[in-house]
Amino acid sequence: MFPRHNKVEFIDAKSYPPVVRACDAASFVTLLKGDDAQRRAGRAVLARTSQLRDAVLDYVTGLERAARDGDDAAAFDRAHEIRGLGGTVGLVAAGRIANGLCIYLDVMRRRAQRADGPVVALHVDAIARAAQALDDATRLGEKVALELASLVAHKLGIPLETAAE
Amino acid sequence: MTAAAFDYLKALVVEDNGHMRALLRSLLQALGMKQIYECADGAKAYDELRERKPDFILTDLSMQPVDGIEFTRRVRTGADSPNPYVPIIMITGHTERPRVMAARDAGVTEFLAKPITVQNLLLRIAEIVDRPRPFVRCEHYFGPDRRRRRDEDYAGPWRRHDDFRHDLALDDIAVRR
Repeated sequence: MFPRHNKVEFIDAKSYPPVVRACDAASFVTLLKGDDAQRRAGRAVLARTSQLRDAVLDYVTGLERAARDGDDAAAFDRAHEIRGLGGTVGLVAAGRIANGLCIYLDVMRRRAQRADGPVVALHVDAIARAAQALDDATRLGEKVALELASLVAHKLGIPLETAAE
Repeated sequence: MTAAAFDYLKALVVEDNGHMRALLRSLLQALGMKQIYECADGAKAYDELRERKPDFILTDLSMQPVDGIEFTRRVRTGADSPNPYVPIIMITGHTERPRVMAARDAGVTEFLAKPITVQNLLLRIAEIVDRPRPFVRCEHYFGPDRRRRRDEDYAGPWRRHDDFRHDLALDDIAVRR
C-alpha cells in the first residue's frame, strides 16, 4: 500500500451553504425533473428557434468568408458557434459537421500547421447545405458528417471516435 | 409549477454569445426563476458575483478577456471570492479533452455539453441541489471532488480523509471473496 499524505482536506457538502434551503430542496428537484418543467423549458426553446436558426445561418456566412480568406482562427470561431447552437435548434447535422471542423482546426493549430484548404472547404460546404436542409436532407447530413469525420481522422492520424465526438 | 426556491434563487449566466445567453435566460425564466444576471465574460462575471452573490453559475468556456476556466479558478481560490463553494455548471461546445480537463481542474462542478438540451440542463441544476459535491483542498487544487466513482482496482496512493474507510471496505470485499 502507498503511504498516506496528510495535506489533503476533505470538506463535506453539509459544511458549506446549500444552493436552496433544505425545506425547499425536495420540491425543487421534483419540479425540475417533472414533465411540466420540461414542457415549459421546451416551449422557451421553441419560441427562439427561428431566431437562433437565422443566427446559425449568419455564422455560416461568416464561416464561408473565413474559409475563402484562409483565416483558420476566424473559421474555428464561426464553426464553434455553429456547433454550439446548431443542435439546440434542430440543425443536428450542421452542428456535428461543425464540431468535426473544430476538431480538425484545433489539432492543426496545436501542431502549428495551416489547415488543408480542401478539407475546410468540404466541411464548410456541407455545413451550409445541412443548415438549410429539411428533414430528409438532414438525415443525409448525418452520413456526410460521418464521412467527413473519417476524412479528418485520416488526415490527422487520430481514431475515428475522436474525430466524430 | 410552484416551488418557493424559484422565487429566491439567483443565477448568474456568463456567456459571450448573445443568442445563447438569451436562450439560457429564457429557459431559466420558463422554470419560474426571476433573479437572473448576465455577463459576457469572466472579468465582469466576477464583479457581478461579488455584488449579486448568485446561488449557482452557468458559464461558457471560451470568452475574452477572461475565459470560463480562469473565472472558475478565481471563484474557487480568489482571496476576495464571496463564495468559493458556489456550484458552477460549465456549458461548452469544446469537446477537446485538454480543455475539458483544464476546466475540471479549475473547479467546475458540472459540465453540460453543447448543443444543450432542456432535459440535460434541468438535470444538471437538479444535480447541484440534490447531490452537492464534497470539496477537496490540497496544495494544487481547491474545488469539488473530482473523483466521481470508486475504482475498486485503484492501485495509487490513498490521500483522502475517508480513504481509511475505503481501505476497510476493500478489506471487507477481500474477506467476502
